[in-house]
Amino acid sequence: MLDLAMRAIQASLDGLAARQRITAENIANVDTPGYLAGRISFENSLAEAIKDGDPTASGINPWHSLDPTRMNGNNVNVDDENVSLVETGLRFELAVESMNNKFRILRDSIRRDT
Amino acid sequence: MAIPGIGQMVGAAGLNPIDTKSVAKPKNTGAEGDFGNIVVNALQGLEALQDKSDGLAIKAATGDLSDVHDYTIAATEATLATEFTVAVRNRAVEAFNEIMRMQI
Amino acid sequence: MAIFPVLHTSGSGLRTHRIWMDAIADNIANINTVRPFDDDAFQARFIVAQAVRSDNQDPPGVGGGSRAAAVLFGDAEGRIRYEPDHPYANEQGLVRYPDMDLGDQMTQLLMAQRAYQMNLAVVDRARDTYMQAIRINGR
Repeated sequence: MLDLAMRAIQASLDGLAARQRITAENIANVDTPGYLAGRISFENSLAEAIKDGDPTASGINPWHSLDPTRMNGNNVNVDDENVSLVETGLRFELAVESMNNKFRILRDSIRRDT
Repeated sequence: MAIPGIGQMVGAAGLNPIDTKSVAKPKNTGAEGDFGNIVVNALQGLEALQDKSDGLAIKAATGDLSDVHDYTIAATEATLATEFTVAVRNRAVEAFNEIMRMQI
Repeated sequence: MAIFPVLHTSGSGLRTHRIWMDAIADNIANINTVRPFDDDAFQARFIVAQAVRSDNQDPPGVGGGSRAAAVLFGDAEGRIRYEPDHPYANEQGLVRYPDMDLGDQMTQLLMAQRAYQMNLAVVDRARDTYMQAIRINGR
């Protein structure tokens, strides 16, 4: 029942939620010695999957940032993580709103009592 | 005081007979004014709006959209156009049913 | 850099000013670091900030933010003091202190802190703005 756009939005919701989790984990580990900041990338995989027509086939790829580390081997940058939190939150909000819009249009088309 | 007949009021006193030929007649149902065509055009326009909104939603999902308001304005247009078209459809169906219920 | 450009620009500003504050903290922590006369004194750290070219060219030149491009080191001569009892003193009893003015460093710290707060305010405002744009279709 979900069309291409809705499946793409759903895949992006999964990716953004994963990114939110890993950002929280990075912030919690800001002082852990030897901890490398985790990152999530899904946009490229999603774009490829959309071009092939099946957004649900896209993957979520975790990787470790190779930014320079501090003395204790930790490379988490609190400012970057905070900005990432704000951005991911906004994009999640936008994706939820897109999904709502799609369902709203479907629901309006079914109504008989305007 | 002599009261002049009404016929003598024409022209001189500013009274003119109505020119019935120049009253505009309603446009007859030609091909462009056909209700069916109006509905079909509205549906095609609606589909275009929905496609544009979907395209921008996909760009937003993959992170390629540089202006968020582009998507939300397109989504608003699509939603409003859908509601309008559905209202027209519903009225048309109601009118049809009403007519079908009429006893000859 | 695609979807919410203001956040990345302000993020770069936050990063640059935090690095500046790190450098100032380093300077202040070493305000009394003594070196022997034959070595260089502790040199003050100066951060060089540079504008970053943005990815998007619409319009060109806008929106890249800033970065801490390099660190410059200050005067190696330092202030020479006569402290014959100091373990580092040479035959003439001289040691080198860093040539930094605490008042100057504190002023820089205030500037860095203020700039950091301003960048945070931009992030805040931008988030509210984008939120309102997302809600155009009514919530």
